[in-house]
Amino acid sequence: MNTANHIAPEDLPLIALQFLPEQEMADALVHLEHCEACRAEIARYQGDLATYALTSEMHSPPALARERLMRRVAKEKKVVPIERPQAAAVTATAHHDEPVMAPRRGTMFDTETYEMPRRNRAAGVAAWSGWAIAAGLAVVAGLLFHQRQGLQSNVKDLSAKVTQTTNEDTRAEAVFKTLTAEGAIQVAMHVPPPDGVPAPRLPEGHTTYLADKGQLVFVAANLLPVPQGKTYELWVLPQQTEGAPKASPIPAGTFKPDQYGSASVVMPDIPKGVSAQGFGVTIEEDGGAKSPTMPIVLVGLGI
Amino acid sequence: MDREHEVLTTATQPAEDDAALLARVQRGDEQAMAMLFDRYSRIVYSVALRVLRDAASAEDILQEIFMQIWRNPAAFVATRGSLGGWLAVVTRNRSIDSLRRKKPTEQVEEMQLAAPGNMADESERNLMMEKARVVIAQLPTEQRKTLEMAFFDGLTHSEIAEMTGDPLGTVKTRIRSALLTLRKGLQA
Repeated sequence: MNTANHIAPEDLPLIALQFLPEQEMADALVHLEHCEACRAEIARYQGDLATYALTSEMHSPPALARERLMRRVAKEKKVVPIERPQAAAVTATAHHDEPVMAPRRGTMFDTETYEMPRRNRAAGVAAWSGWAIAAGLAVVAGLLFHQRQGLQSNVKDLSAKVTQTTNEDTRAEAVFKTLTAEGAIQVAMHVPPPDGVPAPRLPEGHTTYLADKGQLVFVAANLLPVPQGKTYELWVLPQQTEGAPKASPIPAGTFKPDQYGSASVVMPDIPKGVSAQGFGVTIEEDGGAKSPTMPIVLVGLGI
Repeated sequence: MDREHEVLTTATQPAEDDAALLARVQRGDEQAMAMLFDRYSRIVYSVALRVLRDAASAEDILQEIFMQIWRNPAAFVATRGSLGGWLAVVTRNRSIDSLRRKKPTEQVEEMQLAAPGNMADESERNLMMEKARVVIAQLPTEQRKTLEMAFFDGLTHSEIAEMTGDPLGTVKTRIRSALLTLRKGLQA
């Protein structure tokens, strides 16, 4: 790919486009490190690509995108290091036979005055204890480093879990919205009737129920309109236990069908832990009733 | 003063403005971040949308790139050229990586970019866009299509050659010629 030690002219735009295979790209990068001419040429191609990018049709980002970004920005506030004044230059004149010391970096202890220790036997011990302290600090630093690595890895894992949970929440919310949206089409599928026979559009309801959590989603179709002042009411028909007093139906929400005969009850306020034998729908006075009024217009028993 | 020198000289003016904003971002100034977003979000979003053809994915890229600026403004050094140009190229690269479900590649992003013009100034940017569109419209069809496939569709030269049945060398030459014509057209 190199011609006279330079990258071939046809390959320069490919580098800018990130199209070179891994190995060739690695070779090119090694060359670019030392070749100002090739680097400048690629910079020009990058500029050309930036100009070309502008030829795409311009669209404004969604109105809330800015708000979302600023929220994330606010969440990740920066810890800005406090700028410390530079240590004053060494002005003291040193003796020619003494080593010149570099200015010490400013620290929070700068205001304290240190007295140079006198040279005596204790100085030797002090020097060794200095090494011992340094070694101790190195061990502590190593431990802290490992701890930090561990924490970073934990943060990474947690971030991944948060992302996953967020995705699941988003999906659940979408499912919920789909089920309850006003304009949503609800279609029930049946075995097609024989030719020439008009398909009857019978009222029907579908219930999904989680007894232990007391969560219920009910969707109905082909319902007839209810008379003025009346409403449909959904009932949970509890499982009857032998020997126990008979459990009464539990009201699980009132509803009226829309113009297409569709209706839904989503997450009504019902007690948790009630095993259901089935579900029923009756017609009641507006506002609902405490016990069902016969007849039951829709009924379904669990398997 | 020749035209190229003039373009590069004028480009240093807005770089200072962007550099000042980046310096404020470095100090944690959220207002500066909002100003950068207002200045360049349209470019970033449009390029991402053109590559990904999906509004939600394009916004993901937009958010990712601006968060990258917030987290590490030093990654863009003003001497690399115009921030707008750099963002346009990085957006394209990130979008292609996202299309290919590839880990983002950084090496090219770290390279210098000759400032194509004053992208911080909206009127100048619009003028550049118009000029660039005219030049691209006048390119021979094969060159135009090849460049589009390479830049916006992220098809490599080998993939383009395979798809079109043209020799690899021809594809490379077309990409290079198209970019050189664009450069000349903007300097004219």
